[in-house]
Amino acid sequence: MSHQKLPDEHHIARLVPWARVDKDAEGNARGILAAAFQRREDEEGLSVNWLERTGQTDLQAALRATVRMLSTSMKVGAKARLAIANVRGFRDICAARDVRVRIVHVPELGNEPHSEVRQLPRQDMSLLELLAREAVLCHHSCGSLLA
Amino acid sequence: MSSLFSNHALKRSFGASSVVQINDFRDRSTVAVSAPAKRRDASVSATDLITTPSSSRSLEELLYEARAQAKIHTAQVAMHMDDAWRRGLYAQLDNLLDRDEWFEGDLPLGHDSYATFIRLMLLVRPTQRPGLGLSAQGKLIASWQTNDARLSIECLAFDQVRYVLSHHVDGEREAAAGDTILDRILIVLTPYGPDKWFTRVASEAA
Repeated sequence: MSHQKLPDEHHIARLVPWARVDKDAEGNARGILAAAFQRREDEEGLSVNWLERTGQTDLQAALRATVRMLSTSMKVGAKARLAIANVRGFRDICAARDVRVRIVHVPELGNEPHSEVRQLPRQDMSLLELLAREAVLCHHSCGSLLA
Repeated sequence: MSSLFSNHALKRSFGASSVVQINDFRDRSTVAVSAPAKRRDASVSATDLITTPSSSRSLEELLYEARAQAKIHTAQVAMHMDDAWRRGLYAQLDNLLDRDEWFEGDLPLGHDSYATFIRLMLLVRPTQRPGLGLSAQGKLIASWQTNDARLSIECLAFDQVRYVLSHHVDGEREAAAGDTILDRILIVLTPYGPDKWFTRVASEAA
């Protein structure tokens, strides 16, 4: 089945559980760990949500809609975070390492904007570190978005 | 469809991403040669099997057990740790292994991974506790960050560690990752100046 590729100028959000949030010794979030971009062995692609596909007209509304949709199919902790990246930026970082990822729309029941990053190597930790440090534009607490 | 964010000041602008890759193949090959005879597949350990969630034990019980095992293990080496440091570590474990934040499908902290973490702390003796994270496979991730430089060390079973680091060199972000054994971690990190991440207890660092 052929999936629609996300436009370069659009944005994806990755749900990052608290365990994969980089925090200081006092528990203050300071970033996203590389492990947050490591797909599980049984996953074909890295799950993300296509923000523009929510139909919302501003970022905060799109993020709130995304968290609500994710919450219908899984438990989303208040301290989990949504990490936001631009599609082109994400792909460029991979391409600079000779990794050709495809970011495609894979709608799910109850989560129509669901998308996947395909062909992202799960063991290339230095690439995942670069994605966590350079591709992530900002990250937001799910608790504050649900409040 | 236009982008939502065209009118938003994003935290960082995207130009052509310029990245530098360093794969420390020398150290990987060294590990393969010098690994101790007891080394086994670090990805699957007996503890993993014990801590695999089962229908007979609730997630609450599994997390309680993981926290308790970690604290008991820490108490066994408490004479080597400052009290405040140890109490802070306990608070971090409680915060990390929080039932309300648990992600479906994640494995609880594995005891073998925690044992490697404690040996790492006793070897490095950082004055500042690292931040703690956990992989989906239940491996503890210790992280330090100074300015824009970050070091993460994933503690695997049997004294195996996986390091991931990134920092800026001449305006370029450089990233490196590799696997090694605990005893070699400070040697492997030497080219990157590990002292910027952990100031070590003076008597041990000398």
